[in-house]
Amino acid sequence: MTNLDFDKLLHAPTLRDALVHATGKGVNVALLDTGIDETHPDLHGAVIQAVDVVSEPQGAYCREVNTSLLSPSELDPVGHGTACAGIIHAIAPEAKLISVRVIGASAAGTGQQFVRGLEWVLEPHDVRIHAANLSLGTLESRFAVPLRRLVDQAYFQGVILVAAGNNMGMPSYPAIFPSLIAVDNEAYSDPMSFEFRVGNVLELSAHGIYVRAPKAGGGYQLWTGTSFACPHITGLVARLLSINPALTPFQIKTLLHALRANRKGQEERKT
Amino acid sequence: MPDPVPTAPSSLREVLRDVGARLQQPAENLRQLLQDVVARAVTAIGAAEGSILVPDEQVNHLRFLVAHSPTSTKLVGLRVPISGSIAGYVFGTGQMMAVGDLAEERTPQFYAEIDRQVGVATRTYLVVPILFGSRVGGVATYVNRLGQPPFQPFQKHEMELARGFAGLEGLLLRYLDRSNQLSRLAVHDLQALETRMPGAALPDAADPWARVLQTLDSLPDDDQALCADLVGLIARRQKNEQ
Repeated sequence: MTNLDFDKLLHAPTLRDALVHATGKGVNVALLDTGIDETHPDLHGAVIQAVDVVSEPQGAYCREVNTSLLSPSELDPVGHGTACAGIIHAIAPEAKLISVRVIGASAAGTGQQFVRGLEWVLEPHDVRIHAANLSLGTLESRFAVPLRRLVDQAYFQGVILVAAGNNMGMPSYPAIFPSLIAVDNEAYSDPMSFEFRVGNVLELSAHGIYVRAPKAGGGYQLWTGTSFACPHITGLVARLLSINPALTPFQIKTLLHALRANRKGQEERKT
Repeated sequence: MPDPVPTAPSSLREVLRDVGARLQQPAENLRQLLQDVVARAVTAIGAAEGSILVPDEQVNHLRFLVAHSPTSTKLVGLRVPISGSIAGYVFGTGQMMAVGDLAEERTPQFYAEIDRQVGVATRTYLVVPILFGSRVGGVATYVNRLGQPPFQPFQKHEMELARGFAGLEGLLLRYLDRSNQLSRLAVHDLQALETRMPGAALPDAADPWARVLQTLDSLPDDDQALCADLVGLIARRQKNEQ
């Protein structure tokens, strides 16, 4: 199953067949978010590493977190990261997750933390990071240049970045950069359905309306927003990477384009 | 024997006070306009109630500025904590939030105290940020989508509509903010004018607020406009210290 040739994968039946059996095995996905409550029953064993990005006047720095000592509310005081992790895990159950906390208990973080967190993702580690879910963004243009630099670096390093667009339609960084996969939200009857919108800044739209996802501390909650559409695509990316870990960002986008629900002749899947 | 110092006629003081009161009208008109927009938004979106919350002078809280609701007189002025409410979450993140069924989901961020105070049971809830450029200036809320139970949550097209209305509400909030600042400046200017009238008591030159505003008086109009935000901040702090 692994290392299926890209040209073979472009043959749609081969691609769909491969995807049916893909689980994300062998793929590591980082989530830049509010943390992950790994004690949630849905996420047992999925999180292999956790890092906090701390902001101080002299700059932001990363520190490893010993999650065994933390309660659910300490692991994820907001719940946003746990929900995104749960969505990815539901789609790619064998992908491993790495929590990179860049948003604090107040559900806000600094651009500095975001930039440092993304830098950390792209640094060499014992565990290779294949993809990163960015269900966040900033409207502040002063972070555009450093984020653009990092997004392009990820592209050339072969790390797949999937970013959520702004819910209010504002140009948000890094989602507006074309070298990553940017996601808008829609309502789909099939949660695995998504559309490709060539020419749009947010090229993909995925299921992001009342998405049932794990709640930090236990249970589930319905979530709405581009933040929860984004991990649907990240999960799919993890499955594609488990078929061939060497797929580049460009190849991944091409395969997503081949899988899109809005192909000519395809019936409308939106609710 | 020196001549007695003439005092300003009482009719002039009355005019000054009348002008001061009328200069508050633009802000009140804008607030009423905002109220009307909220009412129309609630109708267009199909909610039972709606409101706008803005940052309160009490730090880390939002307060209800306007509301379209059977309980609006109770709501206006009430506060919610930014940390510990859905409205606060949306204010802090700048991202909207929709809840399909509060009773079922038991959303942890929901601040139930408002429901208790006004006697409402919130079931479906939509909160959108009101943006001033890249900054969040407030939030708009929509409560209980109309329809028979089991309650249907707000739909995507309704969220898009709420987003559109938030753009308009953002403009009006900015105008209201500027208008409030101008009203405060105007009140101070009129008070300063009154103190310069014959027979009036001299202003306390040691009062730092008075000195700042006297300095601002001497600035050109464009520079005064640039200072409007700063003046508003000083005015709020002054009020808190009193």
